[in-house]
Amino acid sequence: MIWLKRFLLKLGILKAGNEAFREDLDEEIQSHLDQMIEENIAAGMSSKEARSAALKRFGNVLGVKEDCRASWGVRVWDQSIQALQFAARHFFKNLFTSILSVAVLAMGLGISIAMFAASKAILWDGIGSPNDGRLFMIYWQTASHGIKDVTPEDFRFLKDNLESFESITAFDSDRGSFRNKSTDQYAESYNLQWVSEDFFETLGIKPMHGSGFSSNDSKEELHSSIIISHRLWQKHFNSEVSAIGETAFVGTKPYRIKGVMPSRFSFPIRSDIWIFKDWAARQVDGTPASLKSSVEVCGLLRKGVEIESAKTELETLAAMLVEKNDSHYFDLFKQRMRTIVPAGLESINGEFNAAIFATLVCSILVLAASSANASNLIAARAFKRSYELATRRALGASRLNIVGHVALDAALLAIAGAFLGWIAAAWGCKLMQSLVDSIDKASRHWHFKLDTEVVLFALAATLLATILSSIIPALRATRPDVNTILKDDERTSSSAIMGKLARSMIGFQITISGAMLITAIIISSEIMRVANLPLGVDSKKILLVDIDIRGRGGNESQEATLQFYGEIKRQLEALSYIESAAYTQSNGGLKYRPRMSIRREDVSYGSEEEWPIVLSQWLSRDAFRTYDVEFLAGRDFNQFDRIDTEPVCIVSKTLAKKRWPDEDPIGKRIVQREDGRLYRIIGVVPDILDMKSRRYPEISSQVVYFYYGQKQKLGKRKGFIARSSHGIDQYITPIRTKLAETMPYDAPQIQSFESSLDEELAEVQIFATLFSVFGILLLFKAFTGLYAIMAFAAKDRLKEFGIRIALGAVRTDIIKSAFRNTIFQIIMGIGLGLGIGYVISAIIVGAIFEGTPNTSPFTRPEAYLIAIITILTVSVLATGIPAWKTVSTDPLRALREE
Amino acid sequence: MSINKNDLLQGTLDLLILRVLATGDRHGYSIAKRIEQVSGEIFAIQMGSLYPALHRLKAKAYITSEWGITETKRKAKFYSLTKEGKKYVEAEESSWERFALGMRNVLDNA
Repeated sequence: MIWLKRFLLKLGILKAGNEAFREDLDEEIQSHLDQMIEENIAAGMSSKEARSAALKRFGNVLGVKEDCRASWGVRVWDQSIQALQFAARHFFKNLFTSILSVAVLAMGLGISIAMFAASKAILWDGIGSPNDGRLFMIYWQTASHGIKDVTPEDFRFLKDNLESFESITAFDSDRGSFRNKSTDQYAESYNLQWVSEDFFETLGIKPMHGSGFSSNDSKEELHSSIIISHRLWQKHFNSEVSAIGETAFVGTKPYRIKGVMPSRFSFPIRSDIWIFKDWAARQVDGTPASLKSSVEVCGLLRKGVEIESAKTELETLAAMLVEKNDSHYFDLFKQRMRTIVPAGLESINGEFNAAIFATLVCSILVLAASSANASNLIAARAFKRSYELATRRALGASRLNIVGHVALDAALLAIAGAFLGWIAAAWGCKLMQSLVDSIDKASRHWHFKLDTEVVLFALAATLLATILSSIIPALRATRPDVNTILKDDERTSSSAIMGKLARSMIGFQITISGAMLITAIIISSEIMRVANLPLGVDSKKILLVDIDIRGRGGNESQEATLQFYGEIKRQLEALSYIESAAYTQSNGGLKYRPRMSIRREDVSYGSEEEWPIVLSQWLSRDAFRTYDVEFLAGRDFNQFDRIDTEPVCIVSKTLAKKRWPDEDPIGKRIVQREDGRLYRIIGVVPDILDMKSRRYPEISSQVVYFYYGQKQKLGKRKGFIARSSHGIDQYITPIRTKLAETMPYDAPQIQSFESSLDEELAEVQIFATLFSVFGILLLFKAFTGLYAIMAFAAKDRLKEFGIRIALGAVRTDIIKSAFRNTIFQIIMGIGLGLGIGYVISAIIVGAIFEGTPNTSPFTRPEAYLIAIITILTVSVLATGIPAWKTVSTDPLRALREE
Repeated sequence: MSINKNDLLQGTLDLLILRVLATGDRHGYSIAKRIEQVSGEIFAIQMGSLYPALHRLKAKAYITSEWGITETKRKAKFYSLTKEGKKYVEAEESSWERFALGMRNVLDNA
């Protein structure tokens, strides 16, 4: 610990301050001299001779003192203090540019770090487990990049043979109704996961209360307990720890609550209940494991194992499966498999990747722009000091000393800017988090936080850029031929270099801001446009009731199921506030409709692939009455349409027009490719669009409606629609209570069509909000950066302006000249920015809204016009204000300005 | 003939000071006198190197200092060896002895 002792000793000296040290040393040397004098007197010298001899013998007292101080590093300390004082003086002497530089740096750093945090949270953050980075989803992938289901048998095979992974777990998503019988009036529907016993151990996340499943638990315990989410615990158990061990119902089966997961845990996305299922067994739910499809597999990579070698091992195992030549592996026989995706991120499915990558690139560009902008200002400050620095050099100051002082000056600005930028970024992250959390309908739980490495990288990059930008002018000013610099007037070479730099910075700033702005405007307007697209039904009056009867246990007959649905329909219709009710696909058939190939009976095609694609929907009687649409021709399904009568269908107006342009479609027949049956058209209805494909009315308005009464095999999951004459939200609870009487263990999902629409757009809304916030902030940053550059340039030319005004120049001419200097960069910046913005927004809109985006200036002139006007206004203000302020200065004061 | 500071081997002065302090606490003047005395007036210590050396050793935590009173009732700063200083002296002494022996052998037998 000697180093610590030494450090503390030195620190003690520095802490004691120079004065105390000096006094002590003076006293010690004086004591030494006094003893020498005393001895000399004792040897017979006079006191004068004794003193003189002692001093001579001692040598250079001042030199000794300096050497002693140097032993403690006091000299370095002194010099550092001096340099700091010098830098502080310079900071305040040039307060205007100092504040501007700090502000530009702080804003740039703050924005870029916050943007990076957002991108990182969405792109790379795993599930918040200590095992993140080692957790991977394992899929079979075909050569054409299609994903092939992993069967429970594959899982067992992998579990037995896969060595690159420490453990692997299987799970499958489902929905289930949950009810705490002691407190809940009715069951509610949640996403549940059927997981293997090592699910939580593999993920490395423990419940916050109770315990997770474990391979040590008995099968009996595993089968009788569940783990619930934090959200569910809050809602159904009032956040009471005593919930552990309590009994709750999932469907009709009672389970013991074994654990409660932490609030931010949601894997796979938006899950609330985790139930054990023995996925590695030979029979799953009574079906051979090889026949049961689709289970998701997540593995924990062994420490030290490279992902590539894990992939190779998986390929080898896949080849072994192929060799079995089992029918399931037929596709794999000619293709290779694999794909490993980091767990927690697979859910993004590339949907937002492009958008977030764009943000990431922008955050790097913003960092570069702000560093370059601040460097530009700092370099300008240093160039302005060329004369002073050259003079100091000419007077004998060392080059290192001068350059050090200038670098310290820049470092002070950079540190101040970095500190404020760091605070701004932390605040920005908090803001984004509260923004995202407030949109509680979004199904993802992103956690925006500052990443230490990123913050340090950004700070280091800024510090380096600013210090370097100050060193270069300082080195130039202190070069050996000082005379050249001393002769160099401020308006000559130094200013010329800065002028070029400043102008390129203006262009760069405007480009970045323009790109972000146009992206934000286009995404926001696209969301607005989509949100306002008419669907053909009144969303405020329609209620969606989704019922899932898969968990009821019985294998009810077709007839019994139909009767059950009919009973629910009658119950809904019996309510006084419900005008009409019907059943159809999930989400009332309004969220998504499956595609289907059909053809006119009298039209033939070369192959089935060429058949026209339309959307399809199955529904009960009264569905169109519930949607509140009038038949344009023909009739609705009725009691005479039965499973044993001729199959019938109803078509939408657009489909009728497209396929029978000059004919009456009623009575015509179509062939459905899926079942090969012929359906006779009995009615034509107006277009009703669904949420998913409403952006593309070309496809979504061509719909064929089929009748449930004629469906060969009924599903166990249905969506009911009900219409009320006015606001439907208030009836949700009474309807739920009423339905609970018939099905106490089933949890219908009930929501108004309007809130379903909001939910659909919620996630996209987050992106739009984030982009808008970034766009506005960047615009503000561009204004500050531009203003800083222009104000500095104007201040630099104050004297020149003074002379020109004194010689009779008109003020407006001088302002015009300021604009002439920057107009080219502004126009170039706008052009480039809009071009880049077009590309980014096309990628993002294409990714989010699935389809060919209409983001060009020709299809969206208003968006581009708004962006151009905004950037032009900002540029004009940032250029004009400093120029106006300068020319408004009294010429006499301007002429005195140094 | 005395040897002044410039002729002393680098680092020798530190060892001389520490060795002198190994026999007891001393102030700067006394250290210089003692070295001169025990070296048989061969080493004449320059004050210009004594005090920086004392401060250097103090900064390295080999010695500490404290104000005290001399035999002549004068206030002076007394230096004493620390535990680390003692260890350092022992190590340096043995390496110096090996160095001296080597020199002696070369001078005698070359």
